[in-house]
Amino acid sequence: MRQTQVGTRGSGKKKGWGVIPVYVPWLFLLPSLVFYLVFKAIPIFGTFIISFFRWEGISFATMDFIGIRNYITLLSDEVFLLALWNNIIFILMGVSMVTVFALFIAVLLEKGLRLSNFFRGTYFIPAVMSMVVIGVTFTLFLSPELGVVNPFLERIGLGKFTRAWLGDPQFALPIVILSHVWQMFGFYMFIFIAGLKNIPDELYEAAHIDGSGVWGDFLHVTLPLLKPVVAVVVVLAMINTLKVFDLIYVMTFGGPGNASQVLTLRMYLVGFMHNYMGYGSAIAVVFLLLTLAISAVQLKVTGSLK
Amino acid sequence: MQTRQHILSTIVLYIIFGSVFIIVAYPLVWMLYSSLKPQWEIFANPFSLPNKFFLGNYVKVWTRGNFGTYFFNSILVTVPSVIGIVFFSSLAGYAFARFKFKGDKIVFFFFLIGIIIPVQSIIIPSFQIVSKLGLIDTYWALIFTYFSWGQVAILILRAFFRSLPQEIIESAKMDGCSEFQIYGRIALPLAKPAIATVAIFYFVWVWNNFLYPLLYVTSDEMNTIPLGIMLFRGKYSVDWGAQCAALSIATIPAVVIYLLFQDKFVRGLTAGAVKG
Repeated sequence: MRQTQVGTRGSGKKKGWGVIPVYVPWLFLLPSLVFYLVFKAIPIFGTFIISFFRWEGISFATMDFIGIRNYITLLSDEVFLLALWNNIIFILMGVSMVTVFALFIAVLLEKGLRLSNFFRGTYFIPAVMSMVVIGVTFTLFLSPELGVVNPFLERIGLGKFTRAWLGDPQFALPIVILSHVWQMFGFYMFIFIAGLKNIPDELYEAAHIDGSGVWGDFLHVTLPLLKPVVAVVVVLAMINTLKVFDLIYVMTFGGPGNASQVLTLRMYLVGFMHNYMGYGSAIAVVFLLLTLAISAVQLKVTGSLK
Repeated sequence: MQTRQHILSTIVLYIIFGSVFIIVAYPLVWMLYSSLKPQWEIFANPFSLPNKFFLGNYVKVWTRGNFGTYFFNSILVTVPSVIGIVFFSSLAGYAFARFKFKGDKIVFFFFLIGIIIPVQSIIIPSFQIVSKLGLIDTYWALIFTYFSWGQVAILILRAFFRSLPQEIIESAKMDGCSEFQIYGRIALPLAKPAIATVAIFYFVWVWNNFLYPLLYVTSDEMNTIPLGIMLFRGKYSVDWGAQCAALSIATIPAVVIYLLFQDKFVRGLTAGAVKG
C-alpha cells in the first residue's frame, strides 16, 4: 500500500492530528534541496567526472575522454607536487602555531582578569575580516620600498634584515602562513574557551590539594580533559589551512616563481587561466580527497574520544 | 607573599595580552588612520597619526574608484542571499526536526556531505553550470550560489526546532493550523535568536567572499567590494591613502556587525565549526 501520510515527531497515539500528507516535508525541503543540488551537489560529482576528460571548457561536444591520464600527468607535474608540498608545510607550520597559540591565550584568558572579555573580543576581530583586506594590508606593511616593517627595522637598528619580504622565495610562504595564523587564532581561541568552561572547578581544587602548580594544572587537568576540543581544533585548522586561496592570491599569487604555490591556486590557474578544465578538476579531486580524509579522521577521533 | 605573587602574575598576564592586542590591533588601526592621511604624509612617515582628518581618500575611492557601485553591489548581493539562506534553511531545519518521513535520514546525510565539501574543489563544474544557465555577470549567479551553502544553517536551526516544546506545536495543530501555519506563526517567531545567529554568521561570510565574484563577475560595474579592492589596487598601486580607505570601507560593516552582536556571532561560528 502506498504511504500517503507521514508521522510527526512527538505525535501521540491520538489519530487525526499526528499525521500529515506525505508531500508536506518535501515542500519544506524543496528550496534548499534545489539550490543544493544544482549549485553544489552536482558540481561535486561533476568535478570527479570532468577529471577524466581533456576539455577546454567551452562546449560539451569537445570533451575528450582520456581515463586516468590527468592523474598520471599529476605524478610528474613539478608545480603540482611543489604546491602539494607547500600545502603540507602550510598545514604543519600553520596548524601547530595556531593551535598552540590559541590554546595558550585561551588558558590565560580563563584566569579571570578584569579585561579578559575585552581582549577576547578584540582577538576575534581578524576572523570576521575579509582575507583580501588582510592580504592587502600586510602586503602594504611588507612593501620593500616604503612599507612599515622595513622602516621599523631600520629605526630599531636592524636595518640589515630589511628585504623585499614577499619577493623572497624563502619568506613568501612563511609570511602567508603567519598572516593566516594572525587571522584565525582568535577563532580557535573561542572554541578552546568554550571547552575550558566545561571543565569543573572541583578538579582544579583537587589538584591544588595535591599541591600542583600552574603548569601541573595545565598538564594534569586541563590538557587531558580538553583532548576532544584540541582534536576538533586541529582538524578544523588543517582543513582551513588546506583551503587557503584568497591570502595567497592577494599576497603572492603563488610567487615568487612557484615558491608559495598551493593546490587551490594551482587548480584555479590551470582551470581558468590556461583553460585545462579536465586537468584542473584532477587537482580539485586530489584536494577534495585530502579534505575528506582529514574529515574522516576527525569523525573517528571525536567518536573515540567521546 | 601570596599577594605579591598574585600582583606579579597579573602584570605578566597584562604584558602578554597587551602585546597580542598590539599585534592584532595595530594593522587595523594603521589602516584606519592612514586612510585619513594624504599620500605625501604617508610616505613622509608611515607611523605618524594624521595631522588633520583628510577625507579626500574616501571621496576619491567612493567616486573615481567606483566603490559607491561596489558597496551597493555588495549590499544587493549580501542581503537577499542572507534572507534566502535563513528562510530556506529554516524550512528545511523545521522539516527535519518535526517530520518522520521516508528517506529523512538519507536526505539529512546528503546535506551533511555539503558541510565538509570545500568551496574551492567544485569551482570548475560550478562555473560550467552557472554559465550554461546564462547567469555569468549577474547578481543571481552569486545569490543562487550562496543559497546552496545553507547546510550549516539547516543544522543549527534543526537543533533549535528540536528543542522547542512539542506541546505548543501540538496544541496549534489541534486548533486547526496547517503545518505551514505552525511553522510561520509559531516556530519561526520562536526561533528568532537562532535565526539572528545564523544571519549574522552568513552576512559576514557572504560579505567577505572573494572566490565566487572572482569567477562569476566579468564587468566592473557588477563587482562586489573584495574584488573591487583588487581592481583598485591594480589602478592605484602607489596611492596608499586611497587603498587604505578602500580597505576600511570593506572592513567597517563586518566589524561593526560583529561588535554589535558579538555573543551571537561567536556562538554561531563555534557551533557551526564544531558541528562541521
